[in-house]
Amino acid sequence: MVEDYLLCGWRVRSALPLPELIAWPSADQRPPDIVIDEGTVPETLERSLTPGRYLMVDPTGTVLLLIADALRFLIRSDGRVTVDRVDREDMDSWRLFFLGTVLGYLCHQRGRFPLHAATLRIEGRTLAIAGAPGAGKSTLAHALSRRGHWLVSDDVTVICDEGDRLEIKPAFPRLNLWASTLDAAGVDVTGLRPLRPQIEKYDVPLEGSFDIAPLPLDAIVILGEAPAPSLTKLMPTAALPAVQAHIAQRQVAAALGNQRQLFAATARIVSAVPVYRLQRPKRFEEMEEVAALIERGIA
Amino acid sequence: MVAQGVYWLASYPKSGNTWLRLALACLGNAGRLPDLGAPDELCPNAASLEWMQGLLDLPVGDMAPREQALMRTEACRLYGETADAPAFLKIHDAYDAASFGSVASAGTVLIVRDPRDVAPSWADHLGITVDDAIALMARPDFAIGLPGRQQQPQALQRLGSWSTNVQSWLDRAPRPLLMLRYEDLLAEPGACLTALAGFTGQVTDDDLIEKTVAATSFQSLQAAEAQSGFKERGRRQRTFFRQGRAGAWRQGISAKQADRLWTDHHEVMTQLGYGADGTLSDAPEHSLPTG
Repeated sequence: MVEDYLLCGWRVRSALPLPELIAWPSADQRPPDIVIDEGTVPETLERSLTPGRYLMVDPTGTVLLLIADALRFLIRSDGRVTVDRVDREDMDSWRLFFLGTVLGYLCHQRGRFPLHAATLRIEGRTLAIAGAPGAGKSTLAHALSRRGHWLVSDDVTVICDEGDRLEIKPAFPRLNLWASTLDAAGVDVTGLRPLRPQIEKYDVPLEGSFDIAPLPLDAIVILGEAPAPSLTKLMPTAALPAVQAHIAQRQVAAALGNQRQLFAATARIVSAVPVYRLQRPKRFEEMEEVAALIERGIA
Repeated sequence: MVAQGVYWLASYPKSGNTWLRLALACLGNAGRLPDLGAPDELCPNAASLEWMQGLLDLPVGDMAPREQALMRTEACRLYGETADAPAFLKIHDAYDAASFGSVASAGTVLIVRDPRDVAPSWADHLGITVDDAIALMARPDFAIGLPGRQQQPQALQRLGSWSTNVQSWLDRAPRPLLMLRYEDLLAEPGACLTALAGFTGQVTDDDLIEKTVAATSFQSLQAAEAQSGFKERGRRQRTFFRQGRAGAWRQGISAKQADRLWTDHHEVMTQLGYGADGTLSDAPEHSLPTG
């Protein structure tokens, strides 16, 4: 059954259920921005501009993503997305990749800025916590959400330049967390949905209300690792490359010819909001201390 | 014109692979040691998810081991095909043509070390007893990077036993093959580095070799680690650069442990010139460039 959902301000019409997302408000009659269907997706794209065989972009801006031999996505620049669940034993995994990696591609195709960041609303301010995959964004976001702060997005944060301000479009109230993070937080994984077979990472719904209204971006924190926690504000010359390094799905952006536009957008972001570097040990023991450091530093 | 394709820097863990990588980095950096805290761009670890992620821009962290294995092959292939300079890749797996046979190869540098010195170093790295390390080194199904309850930094690597690991590279590795013994690297670093540079087509002179030898001496590496840390240090290790000695096993492990290693691995050890009593015979046939 086809359902309509709200994702980062877009109306998403999907033939496959997306229980992570908020239903589209029925009063809003605008046509869908993104339409998801299930179907056969080819293994390759002709005239691909990228060197690899698992990620291809053709000159019309169509993106082909292969998740090894389990899943295929064809993402056209007009917003039509075809999902091919090649591995019939693995029917749910497509949502994890659609709501992360593919969301980044959709941003690049549609002129939005996807930052590899988890975003939270802390003391009335919107903070994007950026980091490379595995840097601990979701773990820190989990700790902050347990201290009463709202989650705005996990993994990919969508930033829009609205002229007078930079806006974040909220994604969905869920986190993808490894079992060890949940163990350390005393959360029982029984009853949680594993995101993929053979991987001990779970889909964790967050309690409380989720606000779909766009939020002004107030600050960015770049996650780093060091023996002792510290929060330092970066000079603009250091902030620019630091933010640029955390643009999500940069290979697709390059193939689409978006680099100049992204550079300008990054320059605009670092001139508009402060960028901090948060160094901390990647240990659960210091998590509360780190969360408190963010609260003090940002407030 | 530099040959395209990957140079495999192959070894069982704790055999001097990291030391050789740093020496290569020095050779390409006017004899100066690179920042030990920074990611290794000259000679990445072919199992590092961070490296694969950066090269492929694919969500490898959310993939199952079998899928990550496909991504490893793809990353190695792309790395070899797009390199315009020698593309070095560190690898600890036993050679497996199904995984690596489709990767364009320029050649293989195999680094071996007396397993009686590998065992205490491996035990220290993993935070286990020497007896346990010896048992792991005998297991034909031994693998590292197994999936667990947290994000792993590396993909699954099938090492096999120490003997099957070394034998797989000796027998089946992409040719040409240069074999370097840790003990020779320590005794004659200049000669070994000159051979290595010749093998990989790097231009050097005596001055560069001398500077590289000095920059990668164990004293220099220990001092650099003390100053900036080293990202490859095992979680249970105090320091990565520990001893850097050959034959330390005579003091470091018991006679019974040394006997056990000899029993387990004497066939391959003999091939490589390691004697039961610790003597080192002349370098075997693969130690000279053949390409």
